Amino acid sequence: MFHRSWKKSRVLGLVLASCLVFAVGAVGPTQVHGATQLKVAMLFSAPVTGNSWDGNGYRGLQSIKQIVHAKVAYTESVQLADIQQALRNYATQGYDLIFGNGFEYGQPMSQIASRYPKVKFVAITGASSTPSNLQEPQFAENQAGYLAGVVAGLMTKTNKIGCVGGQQLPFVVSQLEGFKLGVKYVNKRASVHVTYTGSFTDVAKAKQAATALVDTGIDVLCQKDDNGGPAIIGVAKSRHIWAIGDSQDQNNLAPKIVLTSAVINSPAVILAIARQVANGTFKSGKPYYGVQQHAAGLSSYHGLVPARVAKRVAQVETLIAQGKIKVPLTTKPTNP
Amino acid sequence: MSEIFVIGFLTAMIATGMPLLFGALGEVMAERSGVLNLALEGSMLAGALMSFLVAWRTNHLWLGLLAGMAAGIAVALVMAFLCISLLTNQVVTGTVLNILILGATNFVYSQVAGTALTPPHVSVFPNVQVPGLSNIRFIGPVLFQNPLLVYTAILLVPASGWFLYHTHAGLALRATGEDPRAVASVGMPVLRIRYFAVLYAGLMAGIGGAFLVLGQVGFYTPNVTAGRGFVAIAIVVFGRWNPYKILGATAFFGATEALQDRLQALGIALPAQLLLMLPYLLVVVALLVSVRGRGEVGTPAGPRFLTIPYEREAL
Repeated sequence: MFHRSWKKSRVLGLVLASCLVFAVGAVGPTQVHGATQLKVAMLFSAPVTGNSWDGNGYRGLQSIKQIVHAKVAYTESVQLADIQQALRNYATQGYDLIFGNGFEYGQPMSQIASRYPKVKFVAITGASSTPSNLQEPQFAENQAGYLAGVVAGLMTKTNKIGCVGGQQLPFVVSQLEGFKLGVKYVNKRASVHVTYTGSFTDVAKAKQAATALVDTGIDVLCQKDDNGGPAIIGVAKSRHIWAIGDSQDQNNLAPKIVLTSAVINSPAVILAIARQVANGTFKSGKPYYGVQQHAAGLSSYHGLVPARVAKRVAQVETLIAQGKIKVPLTTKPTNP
Repeated sequence: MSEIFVIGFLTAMIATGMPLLFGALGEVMAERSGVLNLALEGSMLAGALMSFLVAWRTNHLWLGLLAGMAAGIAVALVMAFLCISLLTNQVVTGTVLNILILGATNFVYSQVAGTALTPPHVSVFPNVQVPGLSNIRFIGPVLFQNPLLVYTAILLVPASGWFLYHTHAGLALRATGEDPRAVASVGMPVLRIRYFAVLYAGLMAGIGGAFLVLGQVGFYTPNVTAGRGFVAIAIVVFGRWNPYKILGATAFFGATEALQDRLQALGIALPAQLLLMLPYLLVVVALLVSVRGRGEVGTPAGPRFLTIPYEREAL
């Protein structure tokens, strides 16, 4: 994920610390055992932790290792300025497929891809021009957010709903704006207030932001704050209000509180792309993965949602898949 | 404005301020001795990580706290050895140490906690109610229903003031930052005083980091301190190297943080980035206003020998 803190100290720290972590992360298996064995690498902009976007990418990479039997390697905490160098390192080491787990990899990949025509590049959610060996899969965070919003809009009793977002990046804003529209679709009287913490790792700040929202009387709290997520859900748990998780099923964090989670199934998409490379069907461009492709949606309700709500969400999901509801893609926050 | 809102605001102010207060109360001693301990952030981060790991593995929060203190001191010891014994540049040494600790903590955490789907977590320090006082309207829930560490931090303010202004050792510490040669000329150990001061700052930062993780969220994430050590250093300047003013400066910063969270939660029509900047913006303004007077230290920029290494004179 793309971390840009305006706190100079942190940026400086990370830039140099990344050298350290780079050295550690790069010690992956790089030996080729058979000529046909696929070699796959992935770059992450943050340290990989379980409950986060990069954790999802990591799981995708692990499934490539297990299911496609590829040799895999990865580097964490790659800084913007170091992306090209990291890409070149893997490309010259004979990797067949290199993933960058965030839109920030699009531009650097687009610039160097033509120099390594045998290597396939994939910038997850990238937004640059794509040479023939670069793919930029797009995820419909807005649709996942919309469905989560439908759940929240039907479950709220106070008609006040809150969300905590991390940094105001496109995939964060589009999900939360989608969420707002989903709420409005089923509940015109409900209002949604969104707080951004400006960070994906400052858990104490995430907790404070969530607490401030709960103090305003909300009874459903959703989050798109990556590493801050568990702390936000912790606030919902201690204040006995509903929560909606993000990225993967986060019900395990508070089994009686987390109604569902807005899920982007990036591990499945990552695995599918590796398979395309293995069987020679890889294509460049920007394939779209949304509700229709079963790549964006909600996780299990774990029995917390009444049947009528589940039924309504299923209807909306079908309408989105059929294109009858078009969820607009909004990447700038709107006021409530 | 509702009661829950006011109490929420004041509680958030204290929660946000606590790690900063610990760090600043430590840093003020280091700076009063003439060492700008920039490694405060590193001490805080190392303290947060080690306190979390030990508390998680042993299930004992107080053991975790001890580990956090030890980690904070360990970082400070490296800082002290390089800056005081080897006379390296304090700013450069502190900066490099922070970078090193950031990388090292990321590495250790990823090795220990890995990429488990559910991040490891611990329960946080319980609130301790002060009998009789905890039920006072507004003030009770805010001031007298907190973890023990919060009372400790607040009591440390007058304790630090008493130490600095009313003890012989405090006088020696202040003199070391203003004129180490004068201190040495009366036979007092300048280097030892500076060592103690820096290690104390590390200890306090370690507690601050531990409080962040064990007193507030119960989770650890890479770079969980997110620059709080640097904010604590700014608070020392803002508080003019005086423990009581430092308490005020911390409260001011905590209040602006709590305010910006609430402005966002209420849906004020201002960009979030602007609101997130607000606390720092106000601190900069406060620094500009407060920097005019030198107060009780030698120069407007702090104790006269701040950042200047002391070399023992040859006999």
